[in-house]
Amino acid sequence: MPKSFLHNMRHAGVISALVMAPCLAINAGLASAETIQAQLLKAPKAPPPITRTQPATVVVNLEASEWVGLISDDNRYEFWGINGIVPAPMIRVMVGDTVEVNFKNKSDSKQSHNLDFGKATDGAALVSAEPGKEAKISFKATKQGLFVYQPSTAAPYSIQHLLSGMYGLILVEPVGGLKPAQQEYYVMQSEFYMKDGKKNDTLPFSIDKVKEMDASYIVHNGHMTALVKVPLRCKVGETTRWFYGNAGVNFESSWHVIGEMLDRVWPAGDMSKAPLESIQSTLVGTGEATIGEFKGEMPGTFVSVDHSLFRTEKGALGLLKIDGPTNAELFKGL
Amino acid sequence: MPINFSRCVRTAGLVGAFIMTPYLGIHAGVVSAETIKAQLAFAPNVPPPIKRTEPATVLVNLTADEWTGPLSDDNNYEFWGFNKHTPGPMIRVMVGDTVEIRMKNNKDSKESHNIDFHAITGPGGGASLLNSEPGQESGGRFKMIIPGIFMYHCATASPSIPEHVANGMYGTIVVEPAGGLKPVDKEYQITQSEFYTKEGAAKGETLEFSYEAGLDERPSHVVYNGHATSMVKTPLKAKAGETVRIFFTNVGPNFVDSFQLLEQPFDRVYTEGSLTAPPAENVKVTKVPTGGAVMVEFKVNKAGTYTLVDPVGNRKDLGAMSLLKVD
Repeated sequence: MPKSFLHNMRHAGVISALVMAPCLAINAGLASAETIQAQLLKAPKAPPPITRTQPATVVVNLEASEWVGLISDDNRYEFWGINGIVPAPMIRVMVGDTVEVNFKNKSDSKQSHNLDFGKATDGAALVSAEPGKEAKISFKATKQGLFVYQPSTAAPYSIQHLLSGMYGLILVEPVGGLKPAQQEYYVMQSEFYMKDGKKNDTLPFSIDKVKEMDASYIVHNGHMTALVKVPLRCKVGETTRWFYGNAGVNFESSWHVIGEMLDRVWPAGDMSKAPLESIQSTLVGTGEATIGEFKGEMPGTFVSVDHSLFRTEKGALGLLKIDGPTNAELFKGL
Repeated sequence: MPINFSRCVRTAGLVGAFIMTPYLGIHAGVVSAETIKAQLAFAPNVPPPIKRTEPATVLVNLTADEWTGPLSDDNNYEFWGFNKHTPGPMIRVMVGDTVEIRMKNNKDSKESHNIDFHAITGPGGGASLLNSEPGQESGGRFKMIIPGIFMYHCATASPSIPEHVANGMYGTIVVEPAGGLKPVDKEYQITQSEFYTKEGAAKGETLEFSYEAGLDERPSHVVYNGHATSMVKTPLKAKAGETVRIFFTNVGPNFVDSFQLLEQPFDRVYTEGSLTAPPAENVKVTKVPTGGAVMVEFKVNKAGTYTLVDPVGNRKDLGAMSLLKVD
């Protein structure tokens, strides 16, 4: 950039600075717009932090499919999801990036599927494909924050699409990125509504239960015990950063970590604003996401929950195991 | 401390000051952290503001009890709670304090009980150390490193964690920031909570807990300070021109609360109970997560009756209301 700038200035001659300014900006933009492939990982893994400082074109390959899988140890459900996982992979870009989504609907799908990235840009950014077809959308990530991407709520049967596992988070980082944190986790709360049945049954979706707000399961990361069987891990002294989304569609989540305090919370993931500090429980609306951080102070097992506690009986919890030396000044039995 | 210090100096004899210094330091540290007994207060009252400027060791004695008492004008309920009150007593300390908690479970209890303090950093918020079988006592010592308004509650897994909360086992601990809170004219606490009871009970019957109603999030009562009408029948009081501060905890165990004063906005809202971030100003409604809290302040200029309420759905009719009478 310094070189181009000087080069341009030399050739500028009598052209006034007023005319030059926009050209310089365009040149800088074009020269650095590299194309990179998004790293798409299964929750609770978040994609690695962005280290580049210039906007890029980020290619995101997403495939919609339908499969029967376990929602709990007792029951199965016909999931509709992205890349075979629930929640869908988290996408991580920065302000100014162009996001190119290649959206494929698997050939054995029964449904047409779509995704809307409108929250991360200016206006709707909808991509839709019939079974066996592909579609493409490109949008500029203009808004900083952490957003839920999901099927368009305008499409028919949208509620069943949304409630069957088609959602994920997209993080639009500020230019310059986020401060480093030793651990980053991706957790999404979501509700499942099914007709009643016996153990080992595959339970069908129930629109009546959605309307009555009578959730069968409210889970963290797509299975009733996903984060209980395989806890998150960190060490004493490490800063943990949580990308916490709430797919909804009915319940606001009162996110709390038992035995820890959220040192910093950025509601809606907007890190351009000052964070809330020292928070016991923070509200994450339906269709919203938040960024929370805290330092692990004590070893042990900690429980991340929706503090609407009856929901923990339906799966709204996960474990964090912190390893390291104890601190008797902080926490000691008598 | 003077005695210890003198004894140290007397017995020190020829030991040089060089060697003594660290020992004196340790003694001074242990002795100077004053040990005091917590002043506990039951809702809607609060313990007095903290005047001291140095951290102390604060002793807190809590009991876990099970008793039958009024939940509304019509019915009793078998409460589980701390110090025979729902909500349990408010505890008020400052950041840097070490809180020494002893929790005695009444010998007549049927259940084992524990306490998860949202103000405690460590496994279970202390629940792993503060678990007592009926007739037993447990204890722990915890340093308060983060200021704020925090809920504490029982989190025993048997029969289920939400059942212990739904039966009334909760309270509030305020950890004042360094330098304390700005003085105001009146301070009160309100705790909002839901009760889930079996349908069909007649007037005068003792209501029974319903786990199914809890799972369905269909409460029979949503109350302020443990009773459906107590805060309406016995309003809070203030004088015109006074500034009122309310420590508000939303226990849930299910509902997010939309806390508001019907007659005027709150002047200052310490969102989600954070006392270190600047407050939001001139706020009409503040949402309080379950297991969360908020501190609000407002000046009442005119005489009259003011209404603090969660107006969502029929919660007001179920009891989520308090009056404030201003003379």
